[in-house]
Amino acid sequence: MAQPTVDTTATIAVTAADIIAEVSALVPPHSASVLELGKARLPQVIPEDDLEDFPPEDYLVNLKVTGTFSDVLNGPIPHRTWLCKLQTALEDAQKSGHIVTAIRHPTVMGVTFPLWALPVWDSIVVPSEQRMHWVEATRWLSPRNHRKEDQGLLEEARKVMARIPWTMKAWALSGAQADSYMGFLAWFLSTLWLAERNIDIMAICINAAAAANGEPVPVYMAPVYLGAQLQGIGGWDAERIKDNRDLRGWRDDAKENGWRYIHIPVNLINIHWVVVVIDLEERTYLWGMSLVHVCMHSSR
Amino acid sequence: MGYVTSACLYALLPLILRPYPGDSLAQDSYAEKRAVVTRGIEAWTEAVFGTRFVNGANPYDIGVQKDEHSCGVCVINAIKTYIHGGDIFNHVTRFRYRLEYFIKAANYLLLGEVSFPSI
Repeated sequence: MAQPTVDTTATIAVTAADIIAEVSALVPPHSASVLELGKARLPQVIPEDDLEDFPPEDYLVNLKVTGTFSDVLNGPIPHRTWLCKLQTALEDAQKSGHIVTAIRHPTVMGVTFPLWALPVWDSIVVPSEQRMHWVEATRWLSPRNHRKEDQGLLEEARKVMARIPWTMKAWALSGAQADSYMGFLAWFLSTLWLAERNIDIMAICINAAAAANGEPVPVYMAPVYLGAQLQGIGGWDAERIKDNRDLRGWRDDAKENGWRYIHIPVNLINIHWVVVVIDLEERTYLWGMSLVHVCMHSSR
Repeated sequence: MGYVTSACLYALLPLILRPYPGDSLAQDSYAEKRAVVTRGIEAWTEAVFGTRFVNGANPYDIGVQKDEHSCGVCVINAIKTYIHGGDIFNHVTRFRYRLEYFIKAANYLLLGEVSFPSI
């Protein structure tokens, strides 16, 4: 990355006004629905997994720019996680005095872009991702993929989709997931396994509906983070567990709310959801597993 | 006549080698992870609830998936059915549940509606 000479030819004759105008034309307005977003002309996003072996710092160079403005706007965009790491790497390089004049594209061989490609990509990567999710969801909703009995639900789903503003954030999610855009909902409408955010949203709905009549409800669906925590504490001693407010708090919550059963969604090896039910009265737990042959092979 | 070039093969390898819980290759790591969670549950219940809970004998009523991507829907369906009643997931109705849960989740996020028992 550290190269001593500055390449002063590393420029493209584009003004800030040009960039703003082009990006504005590319990205649909905030009021657009996901169906309108599906029609937008947005570049493809390179998936995060495909960039695992591409350390961002290796793509900051001191070379002549070869990519055009059109290439920046229309070529494949690196995933936003990679762009975040690239931003950090760029700041580190500048702090340590390295001269960086261009960004080498991670997947398009031999193409270098000016540094302003980074904020441009940044401004279009989220809508591009959202578009990708929702286009797939729209395809899945094709009537030929579904039974006749489900056509009414399909129609309802399409109406709901038309109402979702693509820029809307899922404010109801907790903690680290609070910044999620509504695109994750599209995962319901595809053959993907469900993201944590989908499971958490359904936990909120199920618990809220159960509590709606004002009666104490003995059953509670825990958020995903509890299952994730249980995967990490097997070797902990009792004192360390008791010191953890999140883990300890369940005892008081269960007592206060009259819960007998806590249903815990658990994601195993990041590819398979199962459920564990804790019975606080019987002092037992049960596994709910939807793959029969895996249940048989994985019994303890 | 079609053939696979070495470049194509390398492109396909990550897909071919990706573990799926139904694969025998994935089952060892799956069982191992399940044992890790079990240790976590036992440590947590002992420390927080005063007794090391044991694996219960009763079966848990959950639908059986025949594809590789319905596990999340099965889990939601099992818990929802446990609390609110309704039908257990099966392969024929797998897309119906996905649609229903999408509509519920979207309506909750858009309008704050939580009308699960009506399903």
